Amino acid sequence: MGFWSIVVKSAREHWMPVSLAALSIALGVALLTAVTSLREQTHRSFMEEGLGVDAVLGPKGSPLQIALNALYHLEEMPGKIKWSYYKAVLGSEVVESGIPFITGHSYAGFRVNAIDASFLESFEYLPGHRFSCSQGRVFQARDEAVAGSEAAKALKLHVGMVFNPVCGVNPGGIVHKDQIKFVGVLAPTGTPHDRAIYIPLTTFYTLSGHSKDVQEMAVNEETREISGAFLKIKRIRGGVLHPGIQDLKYEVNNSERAQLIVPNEVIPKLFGIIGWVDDVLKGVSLLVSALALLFLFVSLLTAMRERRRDLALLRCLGATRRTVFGLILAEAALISLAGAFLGLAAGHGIVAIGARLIKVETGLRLSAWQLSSADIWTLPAILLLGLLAGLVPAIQAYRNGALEGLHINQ
Amino acid sequence: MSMKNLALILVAALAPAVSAIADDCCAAPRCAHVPSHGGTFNVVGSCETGHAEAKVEGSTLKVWFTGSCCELKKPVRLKDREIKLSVEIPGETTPRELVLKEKPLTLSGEKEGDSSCFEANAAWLAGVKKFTASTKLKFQGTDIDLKIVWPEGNDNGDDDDAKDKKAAK
Repeated sequence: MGFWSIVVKSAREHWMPVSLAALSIALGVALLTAVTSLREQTHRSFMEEGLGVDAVLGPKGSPLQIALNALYHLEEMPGKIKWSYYKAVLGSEVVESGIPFITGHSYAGFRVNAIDASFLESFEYLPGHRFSCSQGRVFQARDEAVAGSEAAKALKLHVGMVFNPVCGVNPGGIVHKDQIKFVGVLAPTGTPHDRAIYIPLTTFYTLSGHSKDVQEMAVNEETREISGAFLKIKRIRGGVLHPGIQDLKYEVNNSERAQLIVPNEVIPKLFGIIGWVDDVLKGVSLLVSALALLFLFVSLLTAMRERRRDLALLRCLGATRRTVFGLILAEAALISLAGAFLGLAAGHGIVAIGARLIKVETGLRLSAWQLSSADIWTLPAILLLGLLAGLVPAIQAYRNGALEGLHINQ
Repeated sequence: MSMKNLALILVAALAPAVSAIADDCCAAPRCAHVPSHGGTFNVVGSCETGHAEAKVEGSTLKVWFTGSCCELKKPVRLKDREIKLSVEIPGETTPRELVLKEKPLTLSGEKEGDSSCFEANAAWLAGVKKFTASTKLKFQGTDIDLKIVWPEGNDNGDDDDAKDKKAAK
């Protein structure tokens, strides 16, 4: 009988503790893989989305709140800015272009944003990627709207359907009487933009129910207000942002009217705030993994004690001390690897479920198939730790004499 | 070993760690002196009064007047339309004159005669590696001496922080 057949047969013989040890390792690995993968993918997604917009011009208030509202369709905008101020910022020598928008309306739980048509035509949500329509076309007239792919899917929207925008983003807002017709559905982008519905900027001002002052903003640029604007900053050599953005930020942020937010500076703060959750989850996963390895150690030790007679017989049949030592280590390695593989599979299963939930909540598209750093180091780490756990029982087996072992069960 | 001895050993072992933690707290800078424009800070009078962030780009000297030690990101507006600087360059016997002209930050709401940003252009600036520029100006209602040292800066507050850190180490 070959070396590996003895290892497999031994594992089969003690299937209960072996499966429990492998399962507990799998549990720890699954948690670790899922936490790491979700963490890495959300970090990457949040950072990438920020890259689509160099800067956001917004009202005074929490920069994080403004970034979350403008880019991720979460939270509420803390105020408005004057159109004339936006135009003045647009005149800065470092600003290439701007896309003004107004948030604060919704339909069936999805945000309805009034935005300049250039957003759908020329805005790059990721470098080199622009919006396209999977159905219909972009809006051209006052009473037309375009739906993001996720919003369209969730609300079963299609070209030709009409809807009434609701004032506010929380349930119970005033429903506008205006009937807006969907003329297009955007192709999926895997960004939070998929979760919004877009109407022309000027449509917002003229929605029935808005006060006379607001209605007037459609034609009077002096009084016109917007929620904010996406700004594209000029690039210098190597595609680097124009350093003048810092001067512009200083100038705008010291005004009483607005502030300039650089998403790539603000969004990492979000992870600074919720970073401890990651650490706690990672700590729990590591603890579970450590407990699993301890369980493996105890079960191998127990199994070894139960099998002292078998091992002694093996020695009598010609197996050397080294072979016996190797058998125990091989069994530890087998259990660890089985647990690690099972854990990796389960971990990616958890990511698939988590990704679905995150997509519903934020619009971010995460993949269960994305390799994370945990996928790379888990297998060798668990194998190594499994071998370490098997080392003490293996040494004991190595030390036991053949005759001593035969006497045990007699 | 008696309990008393054990306690003494524990105290002796922990003392450096406790002291290091205490030192770190003391060494924490009172406020970060980080220039908003990538220039260098020069105190206006004292660190508690205000700062002038200076930056030379080619043949242009830009100066932003800001608040005290903990208000370095807040601009301080001056009524002067221009500020005459006497510039001493190492190796030259006669000081040169450089006139900083106001450049209101309009997006901040600044206007002519109410500006925190000043700019001077002189071809010779491009070839100068070091200089010290001095002037007197009215800063927040008080006559104050200003000395801009380029490129090192002239920021006592920063020096104090550095000294504190060195002392703590």
